[in-house]
Amino acid sequence: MSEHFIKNIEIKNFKCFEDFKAEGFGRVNLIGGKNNVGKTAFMEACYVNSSADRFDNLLFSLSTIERNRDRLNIVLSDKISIIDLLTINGSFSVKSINEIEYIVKDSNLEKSVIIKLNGDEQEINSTNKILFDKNNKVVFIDNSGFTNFELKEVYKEVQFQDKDILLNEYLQKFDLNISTFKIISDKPYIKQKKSSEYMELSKFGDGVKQYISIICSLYSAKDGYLFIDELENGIHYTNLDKLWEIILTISKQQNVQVFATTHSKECIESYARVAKKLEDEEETKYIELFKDKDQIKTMVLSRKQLDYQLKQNHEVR
Amino acid sequence: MRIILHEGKDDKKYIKRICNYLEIQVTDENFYEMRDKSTFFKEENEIYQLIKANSRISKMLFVLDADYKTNDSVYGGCDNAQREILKMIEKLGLSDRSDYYITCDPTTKNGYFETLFSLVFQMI
Repeated sequence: MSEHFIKNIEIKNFKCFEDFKAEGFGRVNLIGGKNNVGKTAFMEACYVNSSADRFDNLLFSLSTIERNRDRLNIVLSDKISIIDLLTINGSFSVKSINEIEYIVKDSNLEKSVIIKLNGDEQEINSTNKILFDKNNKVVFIDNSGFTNFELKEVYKEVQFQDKDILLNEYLQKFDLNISTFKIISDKPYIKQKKSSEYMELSKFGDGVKQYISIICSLYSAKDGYLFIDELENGIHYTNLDKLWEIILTISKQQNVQVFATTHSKECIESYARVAKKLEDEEETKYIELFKDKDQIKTMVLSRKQLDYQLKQNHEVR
Repeated sequence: MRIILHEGKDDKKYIKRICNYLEIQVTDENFYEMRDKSTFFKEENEIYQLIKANSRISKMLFVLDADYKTNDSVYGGCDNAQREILKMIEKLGLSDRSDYYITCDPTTKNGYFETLFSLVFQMI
């Protein structure tokens, strides 16, 4: 397994996690569990940790997860300061490929944050200039999907790697009527086989956009990480095998570690089936999160163990 | 959660029938099929790893056939099966939350689940 992959994680006081440890992750990791068990929060902890090559990358990832949870809109509408935004979740630590300790200080005079990252330390308060920068090797697709801007960003890498034709071939497998995908003047368009004109992607179903977003992100995250919240969003179950085949194949070629959440049993069954077909045994894992005596716990299953659970009709979602 | 580790699909049916008769509610979640008797004695098998990783499992019952001592001098017959399964439960570190039942003719101490069932039906 590639050196940069997250193999284990230790999370303290981050969102719903008080004191949590998990290990044994693979190249592709599907995360399941009941509502409110912390699937997205777990993935966010992995996202923040893998993004944190530098302080500005860490701050960008923290602001991204707030935006994904739709809190940024709320706080911006209230004209909240950046320091208030960065202190909203309080202190936490996430240790994996990077060691992050995030300490929020809230005195009567002012709020500040002390960030310890891999032995270096930085203090942020209302007088500092705060820098945010995206780590381009880490991509997060939240459960509402990409904006046109985000899709444009990941599509760039498809073009740089000359994978446009391949992307169109994958799309034609998803929908026989699709001929070509393109971004023209910052907007995504699709041309259908029966038509000579391009139509805006927004005129098509959410599944097409999710499919394109995932494929482009796999190329964009080369030698990095891809996080997908609610992978099956908008995708009909009959297309899940095709999607998993693409994810397992491209993630291997591009050396990308993938984490994805799901609520769908069909999605889990499809994952197990395709991993078996592609003989991708060692590097495909299923991460089940569950609550046990009010503590969040996890089981990391190999492809064979997942297959066993499904055959035994054991609940895995 | 309490679970029952059993050999094959027929054993699961028999155990479900007994549970129904005793008015003990069980679902598929409570059953772990080992596929055959030899799997019970393989410490590194995937099913044991799965069970050890699942902190929701509080107690477990190992149900396996005695078979015949004449066919297998190590694991065959009730006494051998009992000795070997106890060793395995201890190796797995599950002694404090496990129990076992060897299915056979209680008199000859040989046989299978079916042998026990047919004896019970004769008594009825």
